[in-house]
Amino acid sequence: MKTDREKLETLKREYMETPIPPELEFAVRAPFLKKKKSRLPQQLLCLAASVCVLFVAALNLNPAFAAAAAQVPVIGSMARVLTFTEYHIESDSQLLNARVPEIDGTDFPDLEERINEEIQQKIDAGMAQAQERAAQEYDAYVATGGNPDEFIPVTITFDYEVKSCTDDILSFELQRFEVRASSFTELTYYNIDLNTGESITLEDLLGPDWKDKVNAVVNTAIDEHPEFYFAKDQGGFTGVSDSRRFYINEAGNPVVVFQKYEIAPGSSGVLEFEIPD
Amino acid sequence: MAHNSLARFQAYVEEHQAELYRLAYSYLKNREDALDAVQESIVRGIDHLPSLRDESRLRVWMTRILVNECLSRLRRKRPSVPLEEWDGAEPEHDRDEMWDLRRSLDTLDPKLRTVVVLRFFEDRKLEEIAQITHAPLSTVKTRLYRALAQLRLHLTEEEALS
Repeated sequence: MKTDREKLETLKREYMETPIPPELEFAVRAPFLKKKKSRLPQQLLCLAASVCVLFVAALNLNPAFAAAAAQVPVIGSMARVLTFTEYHIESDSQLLNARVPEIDGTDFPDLEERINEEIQQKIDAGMAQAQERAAQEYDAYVATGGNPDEFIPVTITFDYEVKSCTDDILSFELQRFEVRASSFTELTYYNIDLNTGESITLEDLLGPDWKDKVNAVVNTAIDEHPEFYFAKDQGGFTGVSDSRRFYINEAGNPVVVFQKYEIAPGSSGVLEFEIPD
Repeated sequence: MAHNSLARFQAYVEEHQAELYRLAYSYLKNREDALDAVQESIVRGIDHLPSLRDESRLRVWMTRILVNECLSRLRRKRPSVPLEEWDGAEPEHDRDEMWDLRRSLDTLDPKLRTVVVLRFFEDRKLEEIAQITHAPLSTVKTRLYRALAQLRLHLTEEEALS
């Protein structure tokens, strides 16, 4: 018979012998790689964005300059479609950062109003919800004896990224990122034909057999690395739906986007597939 | 500065990855879930790194994030193998004196189990466990005694607390 002390030692030995899967190495590194990998392209994007930001700032300050800039063909198209407001709120329970895009100066005031309003509503609603939740979590934490200084504030970030912008097309991504019990990202895409004011569909870009084209690309990728995806009978990819999210990249090709967990385990993250015409 | 602390955080989690995984596995009992929980905690750690003012508390801080992640995952999902299915299926020779103990540990309330695992398997101090679990020291002690009672383990006060 073992003593109780020895039984605990046995349990500890078993605990320490937990088999370590070989993927752990990668699972631990991936979050850092992602940060680093995105650094280079992001810098390029940042450069493009900062040109745009400075430009927008100048635009807002100086109407004469804005009028002049609209005559410059390339940068003019950028300037007339996106301006933004930026804000930052910090409290004990939450950190909030938002860069809110706004469309301006297209030939379609109705379209502008509709999209800008939709974006603003999304952000207001998301923010109110998140604020309430953050306050509740904070109160519950303090009420149960937690040290207020040690509460990890809920972080909410709204941001956007212009995927492509020409004289004819504007494609941008609205991002909502929230970190609390687990992190959560919601992506919304806007693809706008600047000549008609209409939303662009995958069918517009790829033709009537757009579903076949998208399915072919996605299925090829899955066949190459089936281990990264859910199997078909376990909630995996079974074909593209009408409401598939996408954006249009610089090359003018649609890129379909699957959110985390949609067709693959969370460790695969957000998945993007470019569909060449 | 911010870059250095990210590099130190990376060095820390790479060095302690097995420790983090074992802890996650002890809750989730499933390799995919444990891998996912470790990774998700690291992602959260990276995001919250600026809020960690005192880097000497990195170990406590990271353990706390991981334990919270595991507990919230446990709340979200039910056990994948109902316990009834285990009855009788266990090979005869395994039904030794350890068998009941393992089983009671697995069915212990996660809050109590946290204290047992951190105290006896990870050799953490009770003060540290209090910080990790956001609980007063007295609560941690109460949980420890309740856990030992439910596991029918009789330890001296010194064995239990030191």
